[in-house]
Amino acid sequence: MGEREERGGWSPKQMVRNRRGIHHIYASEKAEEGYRSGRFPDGSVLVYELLETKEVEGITLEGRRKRVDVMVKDSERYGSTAGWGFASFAGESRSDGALSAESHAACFACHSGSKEHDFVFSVFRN
Amino acid sequence: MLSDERAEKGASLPLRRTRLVALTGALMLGCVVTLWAKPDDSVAYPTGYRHWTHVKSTIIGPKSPNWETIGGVQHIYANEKGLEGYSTGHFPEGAVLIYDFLRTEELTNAPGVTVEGPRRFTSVMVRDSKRYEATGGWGFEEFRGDSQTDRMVGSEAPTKCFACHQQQKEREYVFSVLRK
Repeated sequence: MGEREERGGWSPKQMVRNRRGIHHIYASEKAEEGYRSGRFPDGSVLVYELLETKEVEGITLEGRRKRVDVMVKDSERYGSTAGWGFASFAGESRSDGALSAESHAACFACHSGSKEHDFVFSVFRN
Repeated sequence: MLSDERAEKGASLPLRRTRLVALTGALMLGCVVTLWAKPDDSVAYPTGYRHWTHVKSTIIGPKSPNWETIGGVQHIYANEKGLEGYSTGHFPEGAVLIYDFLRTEELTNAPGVTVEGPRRFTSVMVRDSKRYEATGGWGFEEFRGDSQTDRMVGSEAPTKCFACHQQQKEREYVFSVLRK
């Protein structure tokens, strides 16, 4: 994550403030294929979930959902952004995920830092 | 022709007898081994669990008294039958739950960001009410680091695992709850 923010020109301080909590990354079956091969096929979905956290006696627990960021691969629909569509759902919302053209472009600009891995920063951990 | 056939049959008889004797020997040996060896109640390594459903995660931080031994980030995973157990309250045979213990590392180039480090061990619970009747119908095991063979629990499941899980009897000995 730190690397990602530096590439995007965010300071770590800004990042910690805006993204404080615990992050989980999920992949659909097709996206798993992408992690293996380095090329994400159409229909791949990656989810970057951000949850609030609370600490009890040195133990950090998951709290409420803050945001669900989504990347969808569709080469035709998102041809201008290397086939990736970006969305971000606030809290538990399932409908307000659409990003402004500026935000969408900002997502892609930052993800271009990982062009050699098909614009995906994360690596699958075994 | 007829005498030739008889000759062939006769020739094959000793071979058949040998086979029969060998088979009987193998059966007897099998019985002896079964009598000697304890039934195999070892828990299998949960191949592919990283592709299962993520139940929830926790972080045991430096302020926790357990930091030295189990500190880091923990992820819980469930196979499909395990998932069924979370939703119905009854874990069917074949349910498998994973409690994965990873160390954590602080990023030096981004202060305040904690990332996953090496795996400490992987804890496994397998539902088999006959085989693991003595421990609430759950088999327990822990695999050290990334090893699929280095077992940390073995026959000590009653004291190392079940002693504590016992308090969750009304939830079929499971502590975790599925986060939506």
